[in-house]
Amino acid sequence: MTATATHLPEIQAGAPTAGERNLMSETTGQMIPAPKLAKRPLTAPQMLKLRNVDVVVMEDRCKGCSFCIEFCPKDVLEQDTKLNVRGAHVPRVKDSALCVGCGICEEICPDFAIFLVEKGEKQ
Amino acid sequence: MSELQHPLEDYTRRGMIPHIWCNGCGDGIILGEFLRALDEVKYDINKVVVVSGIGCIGRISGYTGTDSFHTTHGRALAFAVGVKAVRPDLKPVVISGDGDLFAIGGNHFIHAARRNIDVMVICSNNFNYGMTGGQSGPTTPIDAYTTTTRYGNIEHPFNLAHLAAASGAIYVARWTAIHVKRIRESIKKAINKKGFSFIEVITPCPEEYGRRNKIPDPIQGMKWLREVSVVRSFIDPIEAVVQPDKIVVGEFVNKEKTEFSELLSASTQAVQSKLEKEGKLTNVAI
Amino acid sequence: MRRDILTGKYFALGDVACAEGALAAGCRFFAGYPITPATEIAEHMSRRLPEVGGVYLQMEDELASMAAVIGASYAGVKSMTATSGPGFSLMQENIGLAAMTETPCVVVDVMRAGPSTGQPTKTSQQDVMQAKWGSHGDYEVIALSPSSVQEMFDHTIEAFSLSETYRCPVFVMTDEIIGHLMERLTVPNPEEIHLVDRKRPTTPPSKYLPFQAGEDLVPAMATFGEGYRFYATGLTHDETGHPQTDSPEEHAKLVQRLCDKIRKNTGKITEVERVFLDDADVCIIAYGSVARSALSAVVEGRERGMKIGLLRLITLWPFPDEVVEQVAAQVDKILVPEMNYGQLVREVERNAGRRKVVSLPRLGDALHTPEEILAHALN
Repeated sequence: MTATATHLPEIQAGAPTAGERNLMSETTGQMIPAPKLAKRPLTAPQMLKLRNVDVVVMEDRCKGCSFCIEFCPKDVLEQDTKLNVRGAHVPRVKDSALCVGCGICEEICPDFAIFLVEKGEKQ
Repeated sequence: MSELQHPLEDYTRRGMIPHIWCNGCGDGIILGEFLRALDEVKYDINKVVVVSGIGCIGRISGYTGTDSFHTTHGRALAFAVGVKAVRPDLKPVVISGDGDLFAIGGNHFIHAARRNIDVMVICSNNFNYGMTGGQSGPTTPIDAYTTTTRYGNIEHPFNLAHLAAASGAIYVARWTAIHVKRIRESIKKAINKKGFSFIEVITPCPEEYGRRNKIPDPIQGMKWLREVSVVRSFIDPIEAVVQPDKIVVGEFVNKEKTEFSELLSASTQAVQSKLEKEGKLTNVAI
Repeated sequence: MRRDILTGKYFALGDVACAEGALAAGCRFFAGYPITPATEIAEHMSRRLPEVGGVYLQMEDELASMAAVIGASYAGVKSMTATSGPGFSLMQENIGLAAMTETPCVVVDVMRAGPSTGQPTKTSQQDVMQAKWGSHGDYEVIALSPSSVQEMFDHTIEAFSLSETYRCPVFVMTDEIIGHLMERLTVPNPEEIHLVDRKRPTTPPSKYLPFQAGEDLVPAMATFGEGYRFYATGLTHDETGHPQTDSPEEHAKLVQRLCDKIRKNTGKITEVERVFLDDADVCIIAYGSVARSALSAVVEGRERGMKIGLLRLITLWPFPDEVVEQVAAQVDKILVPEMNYGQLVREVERNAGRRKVVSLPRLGDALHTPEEILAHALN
């Protein structure tokens, strides 16, 4: 792919990824090498399909843990100022154009309170 | 805000969500990933029997839309062994906590693993006994603070992956609550394996363990897990340590071994064939 | 001829007769742990169950045995375990779970001398109160007391029928003497054996409420793997099976139903044997192997012209209150010989008054002799 992929996260040169962190053996005292990981980039059609989503929040279920806000890789969500019935600040979408449809918010939510639907299904 | 249904709604028990777990508890993540895994492999949901013990995670059997049983403390595996022995067509899934499975239930765990009975076990390890207010348990790290170790824990904890592998499990993996996709992939693999599988999920417990050990905020708990996790699959489980500054995660064991129901079935067949051949009703004297 | 019902006449061990009775009743799962004097039941089941297509599991301890029995029962199979005093104590936790989740199951207790490890090879009747009160909380159980090898066979079949009818744990409370006795056993034709199966749901899965009961107070029982996807818990629950840990009303409703389904049917459940009671002045109330000595004593007494009779308790729990009360009204004295330090005699006193009742306890591997019983009945 030659097009500039501006939406991919910046990887800082030199910083160890999770796989490369050092681990010393408990029994031999030698270093246990990091695994070789392979990832393939998404194709353009795949990316467009993933982006064709809306975020739905079931406000009454939200307990305000903010995992979705914190772990969204595109910083799409923020805390709403108002409170729900539980006294929690629910998430709201800051800018839906940023969302790439990765689904982390849906998976990391422990309370089944946020999920993605195909654009157009909402309302 | 909307009348749209959560994608996993049909897999949950009607009317039971929202669940009782605390804000930031990893148990909700385990529930979500378990149901997602069943959906993705299109597992026959009528064949799954979710068995849980006592504890916060023990409530999970009430939230899954499957045949479920909530047993007495520590006995979930013994119950599951009974189910599988008479109904090899069913798949019991035991989802329970570190204390339920390894303190009071320790004996049942090692024997179920030894037998290599076709049961998948998911352990929510939050380093303490959350439901009763945060007492220490067999996985509490040394020096940690709990309500019963106010001066710091003086006991060495278990390495659960090592224990499971040593007892005979054919699939052993450890992830943390932050490794959502990995948990799901492990469940997908384990549920289709014939034999004893063990998946440990290290979860934050902000209200009890977290509060007493400098990670009281849900976000802090998750960030801590991300920071201290090191992925090393297929190393010797004895190397896969769990310490406050280093949690080794990965898939450690994935092998095959004759499963209990197969052995039982073969043995029963042999006995009955012998009787048929000899034309007898029984070979046992009364 | 069938492999599970070996019609014929035998000279058999009590424990073996119990195992054969279970097989004849349709039991296809046994989970247990070896313990004197019940080990023979486990060994016999381990050899016979594969022959009839059943499963024998030797669990790591008695707690696991009882848990596995409940699991197998919920998976649709008639299940049992067998133990003695120390194992019975370990099983109590899950006996409570069986009572709370209304699991049909049979537990055989071949009683030996206790408390604790006691005298493993010696008999007693020291667990009879534990059968009723062993686990915590309020619940009702059914307990039968065989007095012969034939009754070991018959009562085990009866135990399964009762457990399936009332969805509760049923105990066969025998003692080491009967367990290790060899006597004549007749295994009848299959047509002569009356079996009972649990009530199955008649509603489709979407409408099924696992703990909703009609007039008989016993809910229909679904089985795992049939699409009912129901939930059962040891927590206090409502008709849907969902936990109700805050409501006092739900707790009262549930516990009362669990108890009433037995209490209200006590008349149908309890069984006694009356010998020479019509004109008796003195009544001996006995059960288990002691009842055999008592029978000899009564026959001897009648031959000497005494007006003595025997009320043999076949059902220990629910205790046959009305029968004992009625007998007490007719007689002047009730003698209760037991191989313990006075347990079921308390139930008799409750119904007959302490003045009329004399306890004849016997500890140590010592069956009361007929002469001893007769002597105490006389003075």
